[in-house]
Amino acid sequence: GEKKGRERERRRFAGVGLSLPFARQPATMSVPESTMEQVLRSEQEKWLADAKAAVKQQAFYMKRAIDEDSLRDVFKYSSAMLGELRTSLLSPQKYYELYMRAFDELRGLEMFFEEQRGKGHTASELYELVQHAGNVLPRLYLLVTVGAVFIRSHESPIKSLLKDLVEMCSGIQHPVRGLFLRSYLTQVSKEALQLIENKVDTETSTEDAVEFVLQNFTEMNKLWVRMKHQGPVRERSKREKERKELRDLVGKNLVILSSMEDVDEAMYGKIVLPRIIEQIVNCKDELAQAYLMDCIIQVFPDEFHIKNLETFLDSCGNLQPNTDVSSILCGLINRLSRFMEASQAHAELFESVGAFNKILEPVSRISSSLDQQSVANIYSAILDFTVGQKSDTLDRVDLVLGQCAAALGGLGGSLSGQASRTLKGILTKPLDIYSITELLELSSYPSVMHLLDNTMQKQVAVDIVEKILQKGTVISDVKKVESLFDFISLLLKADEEDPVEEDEDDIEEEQNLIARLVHQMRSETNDIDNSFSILQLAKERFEKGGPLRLKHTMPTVAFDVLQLVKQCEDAEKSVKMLQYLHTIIDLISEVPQPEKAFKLYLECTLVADLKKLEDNAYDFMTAAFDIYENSIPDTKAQTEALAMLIGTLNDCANFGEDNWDTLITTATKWSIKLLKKSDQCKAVYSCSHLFFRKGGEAEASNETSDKVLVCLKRALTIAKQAQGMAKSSRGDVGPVELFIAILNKYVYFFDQQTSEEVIKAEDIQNLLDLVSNETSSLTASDDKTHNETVKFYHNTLRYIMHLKEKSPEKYASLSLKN
Amino acid sequence: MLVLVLGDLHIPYRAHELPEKFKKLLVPGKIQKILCTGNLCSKETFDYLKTLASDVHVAKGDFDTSNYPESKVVEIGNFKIGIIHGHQVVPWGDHESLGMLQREMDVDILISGHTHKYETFEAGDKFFINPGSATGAYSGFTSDVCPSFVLMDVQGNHAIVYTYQLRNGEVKVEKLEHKKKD
Repeated sequence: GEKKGRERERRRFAGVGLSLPFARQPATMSVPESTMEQVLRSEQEKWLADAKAAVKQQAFYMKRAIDEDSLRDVFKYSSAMLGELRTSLLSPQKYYELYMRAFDELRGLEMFFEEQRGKGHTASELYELVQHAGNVLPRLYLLVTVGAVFIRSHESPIKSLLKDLVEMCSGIQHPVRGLFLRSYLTQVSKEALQLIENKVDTETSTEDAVEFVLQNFTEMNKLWVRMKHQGPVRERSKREKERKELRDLVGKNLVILSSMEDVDEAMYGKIVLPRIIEQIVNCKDELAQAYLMDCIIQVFPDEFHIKNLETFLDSCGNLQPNTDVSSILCGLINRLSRFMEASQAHAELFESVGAFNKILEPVSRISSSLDQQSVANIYSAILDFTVGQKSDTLDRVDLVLGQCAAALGGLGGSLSGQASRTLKGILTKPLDIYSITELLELSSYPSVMHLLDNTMQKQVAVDIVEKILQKGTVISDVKKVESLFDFISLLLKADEEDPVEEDEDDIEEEQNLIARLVHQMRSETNDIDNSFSILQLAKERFEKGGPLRLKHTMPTVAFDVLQLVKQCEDAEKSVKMLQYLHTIIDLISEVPQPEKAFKLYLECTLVADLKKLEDNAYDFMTAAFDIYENSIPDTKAQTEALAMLIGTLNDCANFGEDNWDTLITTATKWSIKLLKKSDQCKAVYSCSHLFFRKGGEAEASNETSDKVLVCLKRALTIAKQAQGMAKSSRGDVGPVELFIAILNKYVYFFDQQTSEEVIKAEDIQNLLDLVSNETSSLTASDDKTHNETVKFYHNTLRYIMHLKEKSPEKYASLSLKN
Repeated sequence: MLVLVLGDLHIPYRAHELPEKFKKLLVPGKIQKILCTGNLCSKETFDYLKTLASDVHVAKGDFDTSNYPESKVVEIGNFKIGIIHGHQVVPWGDHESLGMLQREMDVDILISGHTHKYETFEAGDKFFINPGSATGAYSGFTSDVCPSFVLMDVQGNHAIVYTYQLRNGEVKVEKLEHKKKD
């Protein structure tokens, strides 16, 4: 039988030109891989078909022998059939198909042996007979098959049979063949294990059963690992792929252990887990380690895991460097998460064994032997897990973050891009879940941030600020504000690594965020002292950012202080805050941004005036004038600045007469000094409003000051000068609209009077005539500006007519012509 | 045509953003034009306005740094509408002085800001709108500033003006009508 089989094989090989019994070597190396693979695959299919046919044939003879009750022939043909399993030609997948074919036939064979026992042969006799089979592999398959019968017979203690079988299988050291043989043993022994569980055999205990499974597992794993080293190095990846297909054969043993009801947590912890782990660590194979560790997690109950965390986790530190420890740990943690979510009792169990610390300690220990990415992934999973628990998690999160920072810091070197992203995810999680107040209590948070490079740290800082703004959180505790500034410290100071490369637009965007943030940092109970101390702190921190940054952030601080002054009832405090404003505005002035400083001084004047703090108001106004005189060189800017100044002054109501006079006189003086005549004119007639009130009065008196008319007349003079200049230098009519504007102003004050105290009707009439003359030459023009001027004139006339209708007596003497 | 009139947001210097309730009302795609009295003050704020409507007109405020014009005149329906920030008009917020500006710009409706106080008035058949401060920003001279803005529905000679004010956390809406006299 076997001879024929061997001959058949030899013929097969001769045909293809390959040598017995191992590897197919490619005929030539120049054939492309895929074609080679196609050739191999079709060869495989042919060989499998041949083998299956042979099995079928021998099985036929075997069954005939069974029918004829011929034990000798049964042995002969079953042996021949099983001989096909000796092949080395097939890939694991194909071998499996062949194995299954044979396996089906072995069921029938087992039944035959069972019957034979009934017919006078003892199981031990059969067991003996079977060992005369020629080749080892068929012999062992037959032995296992008879073994099943033997076990059922109770002729011997189960434990000794199992021990015998598991040791005998060591006769096959070829990885694939050995794995399938032992797999057959596993399959067949299930019944035995059931019997042991039912306590049928008094001499065999659960420990014996466990011992058997553990031994089989250990041997199977060794075979599985040995597959890696079979064959040439260049085919290693292909072999690893093939190995993966067989992994469940090894894993099955763990499944069996987990389904043994008598294996309790104690036995698991003392015997089962340590033995499995011993094999896992000793085999020094990444594929096996990753698969089996994960198997343990999936297959055994969570209660077992919780009580044996240290053992499991410590072993993670002893695995091969290339084994992905982080996915193993993540797998464990995810499982525990689901477990905890399932019920309150589970959560209590977890707490009662101090499982949290039992996870953290080993992880901290093994981190030093792992790479950055693994450490980052592990802490990310632990953080998710911690945050998901219902109990008081803030302290724990802080603990996790602290350890994470220590672990990664301890590894040294800068973080890879991917590890950085994982770390950023770790930082974002608490941000999403906790309020800002809570976040600021995580004292380890900044240390994790510092592990990232500056760019990413800034991103996290920006995320934090945006969160605060989004949620509208108000931070009212100075200490918390200080913490916050520490957290986002990178946004507040210059980048030391890259001082030259700072992009102004980016900085503006960032700093605008910070500026907006300032509004959220204040007392919620109108405690002015509290808010002020926060703003002082802000000013100090922003100052350190240098001019590029503070020019965006200081104005906000200034306005918030002004807001406080407005609210403040206490004059002394107000004065103190106003004085503080000087220091802030000086910084802005030095950027240099004199125009901004100027505007801020005007704003301060308004508030000081509102609070009737005349000295401070005067002081601010002086400062504004000072900047105006010395630091605003550009004509256009001057004109605009002066207009703002006049507007501000006009709104001040509480200056004493002397100060007021000085201020408005200075304003007028500067108005006349503007470069362009038309600008001068406009500024001067704006100043007329300043003279409308006597100083110290909140409301315009009913007595119009004659200075108003002086002012308006001055404006008129300037307008005429402007016209003269335009005519002689450019030959055009000049700024006629100025006359119309002045006319409007005359009417404004005239209308406010009760009787003609200052502005007389004839003054207006004269002006009306003048304007009428000037505009008549424009009406024919095509020029757009001239058209607008004419419209202005007509609108003004209409307005005066309307006033005439309203109070005819007042306007009686005015006559309007078009 | 639906026109949004607002201004004096002062972001980031005096306010951190538009009130949430206003943001919910201002949905992109519903508004055709935006007339802004100025003092935005940041580019991001301008960009935000652009998301609400592509046609945005801004007059330069005293705290704006971008190059907006001092004043602008747009035609909507049969109305000529003038926009100016208002710090240029002395005295600030004075009706008669605003009247002079209206005459000078020859507009039917004058929109100005700066006072952070919502106000509308008619003078000589012309209409004046001050949308106030959309963020309720601090003002050195107005007290009790409350966030406000205006929405105008302009058809031909007819303008319906809706004002939105945020008082005590609630949005109050008022409606006014103005017809142009021929």
